[in-house]
Amino acid sequence: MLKKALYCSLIFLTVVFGKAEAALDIEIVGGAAQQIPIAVVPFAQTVSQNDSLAAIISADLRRSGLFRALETRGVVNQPHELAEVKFSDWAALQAQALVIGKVEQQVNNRLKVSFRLLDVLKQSPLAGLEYDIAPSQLRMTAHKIADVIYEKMTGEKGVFATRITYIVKQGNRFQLQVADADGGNGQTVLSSTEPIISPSWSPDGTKLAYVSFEKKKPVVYVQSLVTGQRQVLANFKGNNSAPCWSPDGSRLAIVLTYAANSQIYLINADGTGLHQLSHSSAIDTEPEWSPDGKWVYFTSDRGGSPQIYRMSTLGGDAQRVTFEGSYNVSPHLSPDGKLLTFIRREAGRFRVAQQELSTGQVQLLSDSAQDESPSFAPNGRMILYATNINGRGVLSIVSADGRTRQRLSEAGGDVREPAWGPWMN
Amino acid sequence: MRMIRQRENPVMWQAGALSLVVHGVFFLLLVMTFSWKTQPAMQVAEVELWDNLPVQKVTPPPAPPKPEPVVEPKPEPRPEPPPQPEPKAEIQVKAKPPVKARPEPEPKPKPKEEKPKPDPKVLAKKEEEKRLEELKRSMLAEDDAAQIQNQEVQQLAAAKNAQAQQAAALSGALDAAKARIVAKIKRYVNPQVCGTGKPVVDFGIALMPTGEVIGSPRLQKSSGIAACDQAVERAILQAQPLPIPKEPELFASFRDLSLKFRPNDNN
Repeated sequence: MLKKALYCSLIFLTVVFGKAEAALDIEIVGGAAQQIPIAVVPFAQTVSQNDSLAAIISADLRRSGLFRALETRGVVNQPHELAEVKFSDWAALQAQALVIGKVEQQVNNRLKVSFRLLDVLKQSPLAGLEYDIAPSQLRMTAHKIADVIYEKMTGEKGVFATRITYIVKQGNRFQLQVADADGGNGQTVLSSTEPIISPSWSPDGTKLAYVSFEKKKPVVYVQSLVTGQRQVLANFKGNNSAPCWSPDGSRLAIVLTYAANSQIYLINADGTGLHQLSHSSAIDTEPEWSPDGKWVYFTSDRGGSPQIYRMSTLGGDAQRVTFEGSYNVSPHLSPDGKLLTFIRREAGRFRVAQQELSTGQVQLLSDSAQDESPSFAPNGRMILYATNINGRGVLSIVSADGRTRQRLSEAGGDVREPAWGPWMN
Repeated sequence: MRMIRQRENPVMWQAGALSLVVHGVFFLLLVMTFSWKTQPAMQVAEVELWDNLPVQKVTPPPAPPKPEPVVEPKPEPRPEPPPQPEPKAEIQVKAKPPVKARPEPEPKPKPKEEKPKPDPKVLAKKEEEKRLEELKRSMLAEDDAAQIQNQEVQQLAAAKNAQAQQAAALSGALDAAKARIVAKIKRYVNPQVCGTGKPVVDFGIALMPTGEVIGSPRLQKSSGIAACDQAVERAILQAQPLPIPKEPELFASFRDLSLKFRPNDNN
C-alpha cells in the first residue's frame, strides 16, 4: 500500500515536473571578478613554532594577484578539522574556498603538518595533504601548501615553493643570498668585501653562476647550492661577466672583453669549448637564452642606443627586437617564450616593461623610477625585480598583467640583481 | 486473560500506529501534491490564460447596461470576472486542484463566444412579457444588438491593443529579469583562470522560487579548462539567491536556465 502510494506520487511528480518548459537561455559575457576569495584559518600550532603557516599561505596567494585572502579573525568558530567546519560561516564571509590545518609535534623532533582545501559553496573537499618535516622546513611547507591550493584553484602550477637569489650589500660587505620566493628565510651563499654581481640559476636549481670581484677583476664562478663547492668558469684576459645558463644546462653564455670590446661567448658548463658568438664593434652584453635554446637575446648599442637584439645560438646576423624608446636593456624571456621583460628608460625613469614578441606590443608594468633586473617566475605569472626606495634596493614583484605589485619583505640592506629560480624536482 | 490482553494490546497498538503512519503519509501526500500542483499549474495554465484574458475583459462592460432590468442571474457570473486582471494567476492555480474553482473559469470561455447571443435571449424574454410590442421591441433589440456589437468590436480592439501592450510589458519584464541575473552572476565570474583564448562554458541550473539552485549546476559544455569550468560554477553558486522575478507567470520561465558563459569576451 505504502509503496504503491509513494510510487504513484512519484509518477505524478515526474509527470508534473516533466511538463516544465524548455530552459531559458541566458548569456553571460565577460566577468567582473579578478580574484578568488579564500579564507585561510590559522593552523592549530604550538607557540614555539614562530612562523604562522596561515599567514605565509595567505601572503603567497595574495601576492599572486589571483587570490583575495580574507580576514578570518571575525569568525568565532575557527576550525582545524573537517568536522569542525561550519560552511555557512565562510559562505557569509563570501569565501569560495577555505583552508584549515594543523601542526603536530611528533617524536624525534619532527612535525606533522596537515591541511585541507575545501569548496565552501559545494561544501566538499578539494585537496588535502600531510607532510612529515623537520622544524626548519616549516616555511617551505607553507609555500608547498600554497602551491597545492594555487594549482587546484587556477589550474596552473604555483611558484611559491621556488627560490630566488639576489645580492645584498650591508655596510661594506656583499652577500650572495638565496631565499624563499616571498623573500623570507634568506641564506647567504657567499660573502665578500668585493662586489658580487649577476647571479644566474642553473636550470635544475642546484647551482648558481655569478661574477665576483674578489680577484680585483670580474671572474665568473659556478657554485653548488648542495655542497657549497665552487669553481672558476671563466677567468680570461679582461672582464668576465653576465653568465646565463642554456635551458639544457650544458652551456653558458658569458660576456668577455677578451678580444677588445664586450662580446658574447658560449662556453661549456665545465669551462671548455669557448667560442665567440657575437661579432660587432659595439658593446654586446646581458645574454639571455630563449626557453627553446635556439636564440640568445642580448643588449647592444650597435644601433646608437641600447636596444635588445637576438641572434641564433648557431651564429649569424642579429635581429633587433625592441624598437620603441631610446633605452631598452636587461632582457628576460617568459617560460613559454612569448613575452620579453626588460628595463626601459623613459623620461629619466627606469621601469619594468613587457613586450609581446609576436606583436611587438609593449606594456609598462612598474610605476617606479629605478627598477632593474626583471625576471619571470617559472609559471610566467609574476616578474621579480629590484627597485630603489630611499636610496636602497628593494625586492618587488609585479604580476605579468601589471595589476598587482608588491614589495617583498627583506632583511634590510641594499638589495640588487634578483633572479627567480626554477621549479625544483 | 493476561496472555490475551498482552497480545491484543501490541496488536492494537501496531494497528493504530500503522493507520496513523498511513494517514500521515496520505496527509503528507495531499499536502505535497497540493503545494506542488499549484506551481506547475501556474506555468501550464499560463498559455491558456494568455488568450482568454483579453476576451474576458470585453464581457463585463456590456453586461451592466442592458441586463439590469431583465436578466439578473446571467449578469452575475459576468460581474465576477471583472476582477480578472488579478485572476490570471488565481485561476491558473485553481484550475487544476480544487474542484470548486473550476466552475468559474469554465463558464467564462463559453460566454465569451456566445456574447452576441445573450442579447437575443434577453429580447425573447421581453417579448413574452410584452407581446404587443413584438415588432418594435425586436427592432429596438436589433438596434441595441447592433450598438452592442459595435461596442464589443471597439472593446475587442482595445483589448487586443491591451494584450499587445501587456505582452510587450511582459517581454520587457523578462528581459529586465534576465539582465538582473546576468549582472549578479557576472559579478562573480573570474576570467583570470580561463586562459588566454575565448572559452565558452555552458551550465544548466534548476531554480527554486527563492532563487536558490536546486542541487548542483550541470556542466553542459566544458571550456576545456577545468579550473575555468569550476570558477564559473563557483560564480553561479556564489550569486545565489538569483534575482528571479516574483511574478508567477514570469517565474515559470526562470525555473530552468541554460547559462552560457564567455568569460574572456568583453561586451
